Formats: sequence, structure tokens, C-alpha cells
Amino acid sequence: MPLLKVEGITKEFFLSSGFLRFVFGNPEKLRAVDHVDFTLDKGGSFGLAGESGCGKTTTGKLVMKLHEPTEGRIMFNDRDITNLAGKELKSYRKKVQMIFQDPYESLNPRLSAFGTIKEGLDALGIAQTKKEKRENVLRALEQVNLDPDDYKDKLPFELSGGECQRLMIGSAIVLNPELIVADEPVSMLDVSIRASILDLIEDVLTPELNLTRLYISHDLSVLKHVVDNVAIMYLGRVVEVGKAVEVLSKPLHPYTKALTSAVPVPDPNYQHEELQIKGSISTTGGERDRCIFEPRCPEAVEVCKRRLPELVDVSKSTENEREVGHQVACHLVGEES
Amino acid sequence: MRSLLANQVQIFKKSRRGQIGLLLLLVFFIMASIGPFVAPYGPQEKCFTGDEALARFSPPTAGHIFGTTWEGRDVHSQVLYRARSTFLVGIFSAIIAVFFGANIGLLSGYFGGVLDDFFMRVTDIAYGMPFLPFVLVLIALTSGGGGGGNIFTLVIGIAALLWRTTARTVRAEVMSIKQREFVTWARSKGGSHLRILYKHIAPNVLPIITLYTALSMVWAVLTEASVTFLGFGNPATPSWGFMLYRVFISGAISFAWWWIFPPAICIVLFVLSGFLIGQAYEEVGNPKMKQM
Amino acid sequence: MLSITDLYVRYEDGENIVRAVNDVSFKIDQGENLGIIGESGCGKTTMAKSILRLLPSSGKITGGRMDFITQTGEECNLMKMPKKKFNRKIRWNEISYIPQSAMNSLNPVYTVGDQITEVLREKRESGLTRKEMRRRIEELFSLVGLDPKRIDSYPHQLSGGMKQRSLIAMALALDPSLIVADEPTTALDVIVQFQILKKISELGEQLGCSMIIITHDAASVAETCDNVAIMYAGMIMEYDISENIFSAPRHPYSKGLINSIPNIKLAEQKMVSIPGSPPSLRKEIQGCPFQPRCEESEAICKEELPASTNTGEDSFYRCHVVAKRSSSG
Repeated sequence: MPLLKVEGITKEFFLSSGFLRFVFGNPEKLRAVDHVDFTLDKGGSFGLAGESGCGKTTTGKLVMKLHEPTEGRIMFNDRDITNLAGKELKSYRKKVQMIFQDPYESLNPRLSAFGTIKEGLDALGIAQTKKEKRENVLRALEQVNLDPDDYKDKLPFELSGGECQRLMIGSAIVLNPELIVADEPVSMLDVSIRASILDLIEDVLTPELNLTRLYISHDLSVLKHVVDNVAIMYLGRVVEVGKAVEVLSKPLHPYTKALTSAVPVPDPNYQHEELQIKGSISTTGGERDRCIFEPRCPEAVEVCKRRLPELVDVSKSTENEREVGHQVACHLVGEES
Repeated sequence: MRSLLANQVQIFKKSRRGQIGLLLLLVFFIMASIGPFVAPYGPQEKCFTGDEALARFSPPTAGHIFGTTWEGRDVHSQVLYRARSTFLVGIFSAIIAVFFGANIGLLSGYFGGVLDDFFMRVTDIAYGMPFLPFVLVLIALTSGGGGGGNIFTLVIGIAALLWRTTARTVRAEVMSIKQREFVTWARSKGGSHLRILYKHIAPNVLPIITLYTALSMVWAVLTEASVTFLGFGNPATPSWGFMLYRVFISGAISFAWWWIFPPAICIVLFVLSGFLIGQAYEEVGNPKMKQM
Repeated sequence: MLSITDLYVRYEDGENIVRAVNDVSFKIDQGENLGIIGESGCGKTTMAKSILRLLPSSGKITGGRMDFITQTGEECNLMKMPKKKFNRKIRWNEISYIPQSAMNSLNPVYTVGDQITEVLREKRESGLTRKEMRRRIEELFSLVGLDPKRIDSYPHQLSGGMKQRSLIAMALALDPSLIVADEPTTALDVIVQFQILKKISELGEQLGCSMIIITHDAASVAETCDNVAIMYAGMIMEYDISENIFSAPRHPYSKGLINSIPNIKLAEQKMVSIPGSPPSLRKEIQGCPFQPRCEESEAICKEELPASTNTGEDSFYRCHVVAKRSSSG
């Protein structure tokens, strides 16, 4: 049963600012997210993967309603939430919470742990007595393994990276959300403690609170072992989507193939395949008349320059409901099946 | 709130200069509050020497430690009585200026757009005005011919231009803080614009605001002294600057050093206290801002 | 070629003392690549900087020695060498340094070509003409895979990968025998990272130049380095050839660290972590610094600092429990 459905979502940013430029000049647009579709089932986990500039973070912020989409529609629990304001927006915020990348930068340095967790309860006007709020805050601290007596008065700078991130998670779960959007939740933490944070989310909090998770990350190795399904993004478009294990072990799109073979492997004897990809990202995206990956694609053919490839389902079978069919946006792959 | 207060204590603990500044300010505060009660004479009281002659232009003696004025009044007492005006003008101008300046800076920096354009143009106009002449003109216009403007006008006049620097600086700081991820975090928690502005952004701009309060006090006092020295002061609420004005018009400025130095030194020390307190915030406030 | 023995480095700021590097020893030979892996606060950057005398004024080397053999066969004591001689002879000439966040250390108002020229000009005793310097830079650019037309670009006109390559070019400008690179690929996207790491390996082989790569991304080191040292709390906990470190780490911290690295090539992997966090280096630590987080610790670990146990010619680890276990058969 889908919790979140993103349909044709597009986000454009204007590059030049200034009133006069806007009126007289031709304002340059950056299409950060380009007609993205994906579905997230209740209780499942989904990963948005790609390199910097691919639009995954912007997509996450669109889901969080921290940005407004230029085009497209977002459905949450079968309700259209694309245009929300006022009370309805606040109600949405209670259900969808975010975990940010840099735990130190993303918390108000002047708020104690207690204040940090309480912030959502206050700002969203949750009807509770002071005592009830206090109990909820202390319970949230416990749920994220921060002993309330030790931690409640601590300020962010007094905490380690991992503790800070747990505090951030606490500030999100205290609101009892249905969906958690985690934007690079562990990339700024030491490798040896990343698993503890991911375990906290996946093994402890998910069953406890029946959470659905949307992960945004550039780290494919982590995504493979954490999420059910993954979408690979390039210049704002989804180029491949499907079960994480399948997409990342047997990638079909040339870009995904390049990405997965470039990931460093902690095995000195491993031989990487030759990376055929050329050059680096140079356009601002938005072309609708050709494949956006074509300039760098080692397998490109004539049709790639002339037509935009759409996502095509190439899966052989879907084993259970929670798995998205394997879809690829590539003329070469689409043609085959 | 409690943590903000604790913060201030922390800042001053670390700064020797700030402690001195604060001490000086405290001394003047005491002087302003109880001065009139401990002064040996009244400020207008004419004093006589033993043989019933007016004690004019008397250099410091045992009875008059700062000497007397040309009308036989005790300088020491005058300094004590007139601390109040200077202090009030200094503090109130600063508070009003910073209150408006900071809020304009906060709103302008946060909301941007047309509001920002509007406020910044107003600030530009304020910057276009020369400070002292503006205050003088304002006083002249409101004094109704003779006697100088009242203290209220003076405070408003000073504040009317003093807010501009605070506004600009606070706005710049807000624009940079606005980009920080914890503001996005606060939005994701459902914070309304006002909540984010006053609960999350403003406290992080506080070090600058307090710095500018101290600096504004400095400017206010100097301007007040200039205004009254130039003769635009109100005799009903005399200040130290007013005393200097009296020295000048009585022609005694070239020799009555005992009359000049006390009020002048008091002005300097008051201004110094403002600077030192400002230093404390800069010294400790700055690394703290970076720590944010 | 470079031999560090019993190095101790501290930061002293009035009353605060941070013991950043404690008793570090390792060697690197010509043509070898060494990877130093460690997490935040383990002292790896401090150690790198001390080799090149790039510590801030609060940083002091309080013990040990650093011996280096130059390309001309001269033996030097890096710590005792007078400043002028060190700057002239060693910096850029023999040993180059690519700092952390290197992309931000390019001067934004000069072209990359100009910045490399500066290095060439200051160091070469035989004054090269402008033309010769230009040619040398073109040579360097093609070595690192950059279009020579980019010599006249400003840093903001280059992508992250290009900036990093130009820094590698700068480091190679005077043909050093050793390059110390601190987190060379951390801020780069994975495809660019792969290309840079590959280039670094190739260059090493091509030019016979050694590299010390310091990073927290252990996987990236697996592919480029012959030897690996794992640092924790300012000490090297284990030092061995790459294969051994990744396939059969001995030290409990190494084991925990290696096991926590996700491997995309595995079909299934349970991710593990090490509980707790690294100790503060401001306090004197009694016994083994890893003990509070170590599952295998015993009583002695709290009292005594473990000595190095050799496992081969140069390889070693520092652990009481593992040493005891392996000596008892």
C-alpha cells in the first residue's frame, strides 16, 4: 500500500537574481529535479542515489515541502499534498520528518538536547500539557539511547557526532511521524559508528513506530545493505529504479554500471573494471529531446541523441509487494526487452 | 532566557577589559542614581567664602574638591547631579536605536524581497544624513525658540539616526545565518516565520546586538555632549556637556581647568566604558560566533 | 626512504595539552604507497603535517626522529635540519604535501598555471625560462589527465576533480620522491574519486614516486596502497601489508573498523559498528586507549600501554590480548 507517491515532480531554480535581470534578461534556469516518479510503500525503505548535483536532496526537500515543485504532484496516504498551507501544512509536518546530514550544523547551537527535541512539539502546536510534553521528550531521548539524566541539558557542541545525530533523530521521532526522510544521515560520521545509527533507525525505531524511510545518499555500498528499493538519479532524472540488491549488483543503465564499478571496494585484490565513462557533468539538465547522459555514455547510439528515454519496466518478475519492478530509462535496454 | 543571561556572565568572566568597562558603567549608574543625595551642595547653590563673598572661580579647596564655577557653584556637586541626564540620554538612545535597528535588520534580512528593498532604501536615506547637524536642526525646530530642546527630543533625535548601523549589520548577519542548516531544521519542525526569526535566528545574532548597544551608547553620549556644548542643551535638564557649555560662555575656558576636567573626564570615562564593554563582546563574542 | 621513529607530537595552548601523536613509528621505501587509515581525531593529519613542518605554532614535536634519504642519496635528519635548508631542499623538491580540503587551498585570484609557476620559480636553482616552465606545466597537466588549455583557468572555473588534479600536478612539479596526501578524494564524487585514485596509482608506478595517503575512507586505500597503518588515539595500532589488514586484521580496533566498511560487492552484509567514541586526547590515558570500547579487553589493558608485537619484518600490532593469544599457540 503506497504511503508516498511522487508523480512527475519537477523543480526549477532561477540562476540569476535581481529584479532588472529578471525583467530584461533571459533568466537562466536550473532544472534540479526533472519529472521524477517513484512510489514508497508503507513500512518500506527507499533510497535516492546519485552524485552531487543529481537532484536527490532537492527531491527530498520537495517531499518535505521545504521547496515547492514547479510541476508535478505528490500524494501522501492517497491525499494530494502538492499545495499545502497553514494548518494542513503543519499537520503534514507532524507526519513527515527529516534527518539532516551535518548533525552539528543542523541543530540550533543554543538549544539544549531537551529544547531541541521539544521544538517540534511547540512549533507544531501539539495539544499537550507541559507535563505530557516533558514526558515525551524524555522518552524520545531514551528511545535514541541518550540517557535523559545525562543528556537533557547538554548543548550540541558538547556531544560527539554520533550523539548529535541521535539527538536529531530524537527530535524527529518525538512527533510520531509516519515517514522519515534521511538526507545522508551518516556520511559525516566515522565509519565505525555508522552502523549504529542505521541500526537505530532500521532495527529499533522502524518496528517501534512503524516507520517508512526515504534515504538520500551517494554511498551505494550503504544503500545496498539498508534499503529495499533504490532509484539512481542523474541530472535530475531517474535513470534506473528497482530492488536495491538487484540494481546495484546487476545494473542495466550505463550510468549505474559506471557508478557501481567506481565504488571503492575494501579488498586489495579486487580488480575494477575499466570505467568507460567520459568527461564530467557539464550541462544544467532539462533537455527533453535527447538522453541527458548521452554525452558521456560509452554505449550511446544515434537514437540517444534524438529521443528522451523513458523508464521502462524490464523486470522478469516481482516476488513480493514491496519490491518495485526493475525499470530503466535507456534506449538500449528498453529495446532489448 | 536563563541561558542567555548565563552567556553574558561567561563573556564578562573572560574579558578583563569588559570587567573594567562594566565596573565603570556601574560607577556611573550609582552616580546617576544617588548622586543628588550625596552631593555636598545643590547644583545651583551659590557658595560663599568665609567672608561672605561669592566663591567665584575658585580652584580646588578642601570644601570644594573640584572648585567652583563663575557663579560660585560647586563643580563636584554639579557633576554628581548631572550624571543623570548624560546617563539617561546614553542608555535610552542606545536602547531605542538598537531596538529599532535590530528589528529592522531581522525582518529585512529574513524576508528579503520588497520589504528588504524598502528598509534598505530608508537606511540609505538615514545614512545620507549627517548625524550631528541633523540632531541640531531637530532640536532647533522643536525648541520653540530659546532654551534648547528637551531631553526627550534629544533622545529621539539621536536614536533616529543611530539605528542605521545596527540595522545594516544585523541584516547582514541574518542573511548569513538564514542559510544555515539549523534554520531548515526549524522549518521542518513546523516553525512559523516569526518563530524562526525570533526564537532561532535572533539569539544567534545577540552578540552583535549587544556589541552595538554598547557602541550606540558611546555615540549617543558623544553626540549629547556635542549638542549641549554647542548651546542647544536644555538648562532644565543639564548634563556634563552642558557644564562644558557654561565654561565656554563664561569665558573661563582658558584658565578654569578645575571646572573643565571633571565633566570632560567623566564623559571620556563613560564613553570608554561603552567601548570596553563592546570589546568584551568582540573578544569573546567573535570566537563564539564562529563556534556557532 | 622515510623512517619515522617514536614520534610524539602535542598541541599546547596555555594550559590545554592535546597529545595528538603518541609513539608513532613506520617506514616507507621508494616506490611504495602507504595508507594511513583512522577516524576523526586519531592524529593522522597532525602526523602528516609534522613531517613537513606545517604544524601551527601551538604544535610541538616532543620526541622521536624522522630520517630521510634524498634522491641523491643524502641522509637527512628531518627534524634537525635548519629551516632554510629544509625549505630549499626538502619541501616540494623531495617531499610534497597535498593538504586536506586541498580544493579550497588554491588561491582564487591566480590562475592554476601561475600557482604552479610559483612553485617552480622559487625552488629551481637553475633558473628556468618562462617558456621552459610553461612546457613543464603542460607536461605535468597531461601527466595528471588535465587539458593543457586549462593552465590559464582560475580555480572557480574548474570542477572539484580538476582542482584536485592540478594540486597533484603542483605536488609533482619538482619531481619529489614522496608525496603526502591528506584526504585527497574525500570531497569528490565517486566516479571522479575512482579516476583520481587510479591516476595516483599510475603516477606512482610511472614516476617511481611514493605516496602516503591519509584518509578515513579505508576502502579507497585498499586499491592504491601496498602497506596500511591503522591509527587510533595518536598511535599506530596495526601496520601490515594491505592484503593482511583487509582480509585478516589482528587488532580488535582494526577488526571493528574493517568489519564496519560496507562492501558493495557482497550480496548480503550485516553492518556492524564499534560502540562508544574515541577518547579525548586532552587527558593522559592510562593503559590502552581503545580499551573502553574493546570487547576483548582484559585487566592488563587498563593499566599498561601495549607494546608493539612484530608479525613480520616491518609489520606489527599493539595489543596485549592478541599477543598473549598468539604466543600461547
